[in-house]
Amino acid sequence: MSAGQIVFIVIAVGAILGAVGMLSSPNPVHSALFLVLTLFCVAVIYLLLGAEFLAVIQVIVYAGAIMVLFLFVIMLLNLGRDEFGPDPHRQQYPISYLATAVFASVLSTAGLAVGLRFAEPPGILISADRLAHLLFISYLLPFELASLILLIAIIGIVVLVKRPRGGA
Amino acid sequence: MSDPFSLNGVIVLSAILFSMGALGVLIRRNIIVVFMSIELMLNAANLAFVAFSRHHGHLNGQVIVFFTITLAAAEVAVGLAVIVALFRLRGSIDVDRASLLKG
Amino acid sequence: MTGHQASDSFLSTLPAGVEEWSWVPLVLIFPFIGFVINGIWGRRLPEILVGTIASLAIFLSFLSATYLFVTLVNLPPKFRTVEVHLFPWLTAGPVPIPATLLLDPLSVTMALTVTSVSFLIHIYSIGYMAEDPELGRYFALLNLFVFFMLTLVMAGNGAVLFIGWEGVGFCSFALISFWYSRDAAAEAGKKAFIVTRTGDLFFLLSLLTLLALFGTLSFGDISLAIARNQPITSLSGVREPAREVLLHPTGFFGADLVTLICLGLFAGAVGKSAQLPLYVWLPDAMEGPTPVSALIHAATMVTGGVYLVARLHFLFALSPVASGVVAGVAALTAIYSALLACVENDIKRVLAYSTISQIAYMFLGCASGASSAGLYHLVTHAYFKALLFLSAGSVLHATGNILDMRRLGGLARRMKATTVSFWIGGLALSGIIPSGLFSKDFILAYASQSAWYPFALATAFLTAFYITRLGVKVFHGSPREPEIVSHAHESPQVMTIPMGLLATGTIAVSVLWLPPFIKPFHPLSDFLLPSLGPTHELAHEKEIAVTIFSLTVSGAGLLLAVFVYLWRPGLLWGLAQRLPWVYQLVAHKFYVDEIYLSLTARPAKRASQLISGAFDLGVIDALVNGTGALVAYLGNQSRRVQTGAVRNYALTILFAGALVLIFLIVRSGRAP
Repeated sequence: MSAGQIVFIVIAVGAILGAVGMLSSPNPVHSALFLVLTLFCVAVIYLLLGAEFLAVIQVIVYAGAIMVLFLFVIMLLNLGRDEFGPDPHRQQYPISYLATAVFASVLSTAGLAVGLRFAEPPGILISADRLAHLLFISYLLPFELASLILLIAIIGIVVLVKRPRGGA
Repeated sequence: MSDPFSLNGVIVLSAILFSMGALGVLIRRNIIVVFMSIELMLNAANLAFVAFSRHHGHLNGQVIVFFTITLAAAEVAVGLAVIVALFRLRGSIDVDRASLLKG
Repeated sequence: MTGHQASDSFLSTLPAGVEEWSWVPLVLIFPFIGFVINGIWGRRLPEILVGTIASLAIFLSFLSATYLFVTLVNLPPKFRTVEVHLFPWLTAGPVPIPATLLLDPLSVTMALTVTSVSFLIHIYSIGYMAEDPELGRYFALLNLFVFFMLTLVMAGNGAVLFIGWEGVGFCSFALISFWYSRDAAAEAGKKAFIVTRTGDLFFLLSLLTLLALFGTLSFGDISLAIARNQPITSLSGVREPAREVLLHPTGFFGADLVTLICLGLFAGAVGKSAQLPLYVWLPDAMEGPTPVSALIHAATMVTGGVYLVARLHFLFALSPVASGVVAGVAALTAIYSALLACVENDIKRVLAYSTISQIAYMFLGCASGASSAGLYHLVTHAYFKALLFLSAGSVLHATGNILDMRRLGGLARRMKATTVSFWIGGLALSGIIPSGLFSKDFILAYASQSAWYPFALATAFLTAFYITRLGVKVFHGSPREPEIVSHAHESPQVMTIPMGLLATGTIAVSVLWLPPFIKPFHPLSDFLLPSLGPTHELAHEKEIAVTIFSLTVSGAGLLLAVFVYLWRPGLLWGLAQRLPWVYQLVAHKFYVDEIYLSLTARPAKRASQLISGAFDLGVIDALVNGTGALVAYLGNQSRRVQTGAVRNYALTILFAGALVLIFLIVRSGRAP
């Protein structure tokens, strides 16, 4: 087993542990912190795959901005407590686990059926300026559209959370 | 040159993470955690994209991930705003309480 | 905006840069502006301003029409036909239909008549409607009415004309039922709209046939194609000269195509101009305010049919059959409605029947190959009929809306101006004084060869009789209900001055066309020559003979009416007692309304009762209700699926996603 293989397995286990922690911790703040762990692990795998730029924005945008936003809302709404009594849909749990297991195996099968291998040569991929070239030349229109979507999101948020005039 | 590690392993990890995100949606009642699970699913998909990008040897997959992250940022912001509005309206963030569409 | 100028007998090419044609749409724009202003702000503006704005709009339109008239007169006759393109409007497949106006002697004459008479009626309305709370709506609709009438008469093609045609139909509906809270008014409005629509259907069919044949609706192009006998592509795809296509016999009783087209057009004209058998709406239209009646009868609406026949005279000239039908319908309508007018006791309805009868005269003139004479009568009629209506309105105003002439009498002493106006209008209508004398005599002279001549003469007699009867009963003799008459007073000047102007106009328009034995002076027929074609000269002796004859007949009618109603009031009543069935027949309008009801409404009602009873309840309702019950049952069963719980939905999605993936894997053949 190569060194890369070992590093990958360690990181992958970290990511799965983070996901399990997020699902199982009753406190949403803890869930958020576990999710941050998973996101970091994913960023490391990006690095291993040669996508340094994505690794960086994964950390900045996800682990930085998005998770901070989550924590902010949890604090704002004062939700740092347990959930609310017995779950009325508890009978759905076994079938949920089953469905998830089935789905995971089917999805893995589908992925493995492709038979992925590292492309040769690897060098051309490890390059932020090539990504920039793609983004600003080939994908210029979607790029601009993305900015438009962000603008619309901002406006939508303002409309959503604005209290009606004269008090809530 | 042999592969530093198995890309198939990345795909399996992606499938596992995605399913765990789905499981979170299925069993958690706290809408914030449900939302985090959705983020986890998005990340799993991103991971698969990057793996495929590595497999095919060009960067289009990474461009898609870039856009996904952008849209995820927008989505999270809007989603959290919806949650805030919902909390104001119902005083709760239990997904089961948001069941006005019950037939 | 460009102007096209005539080169041939009708139109086409133009001297470039003729700036004055930019004035043409102004005639239409002013009434429309008035409509918009009063329509939007009419409720809030002070009352005096509402009427002033409306009248001013029409006056400006009249000035524009006058300017166009002067411009046309200053051009040599062959350049007096101008088609003005406003904007591209419709495109029907390969056929573009632009919005065009046609400026020619005919349209200018009509525009001048419409705007001048309408202007005076607007002024009069200020006084007549002074106490009405909905002045804004009234004047807005009045302006819109004039706008659509002007669109009708100035239209350059059939499509634009149709807009004006339907527009006046709508406005007449809205104005007749202006006092819509009264059932009779609302019913009358609906009746006017539906009855005229019946004719419009055939009119539209004819227009579409013309479009299919010629590929254009432009009056200029169609008349040119017929005049030059240009090849056109017929419905069957054969390219033939225009006249041969039009004269091609059809499967419909072997009538040629142009006859069918003309009959369709005439059906539209019959509806709009209230001829037999579609005249029934006009007497009921008296439910509207009196100035509206004056407007409908004199300047707008009913003359539309005559205008249409005159405008398309080149089509009617191709079809002797259609012209014969027009003449026959006109002659019968003339005498029939004159008879009804003789027994009607409602002041306004007498005038309504009189209008029907006079319009029939115009059709008779057009059908006798003398469209100019018909149009001359249209112009003179516009003045004297408006005058009669305004006089009648003045009487109603003074007596508090008493419509029954049997309750009035001896008003002459209290209302001198109204009495004089009425008699000027009445004598002109009878054809005893100009201008009615001249215009009616021209029609009679041109119709003297036709088999319908005796009808026309008899109508002249009856006309003099009924209008004299009306005048005598209302204004002379002893008051039958003295308390009404003693309270009567002359109307305010805002009403009497327009009446005076109309009376002057009635006399003055007679100089447009003098009988040749007085002086061979006929500017109107000369002016109309490019639009309506030449009118053949009549022999002087014949014209003198006709004039003397018709004067004698009308004088006889007048004297008879004076005799039986003023000097020997009991005589006629005794006669009616002795011949009760004649009196009953005429008094019930020959039972035409009843016949219509039993022919149309009652069978329809019976059939619909049958359908609603058995078929509707048993079959249709059962099907509809059964479908509804089935859907409700299925919905009730499947509604349980919708738990409203997000997590149930997510589970379903996950399973479905797994199934899709499995399907994809199996299909790709890469399953492990």
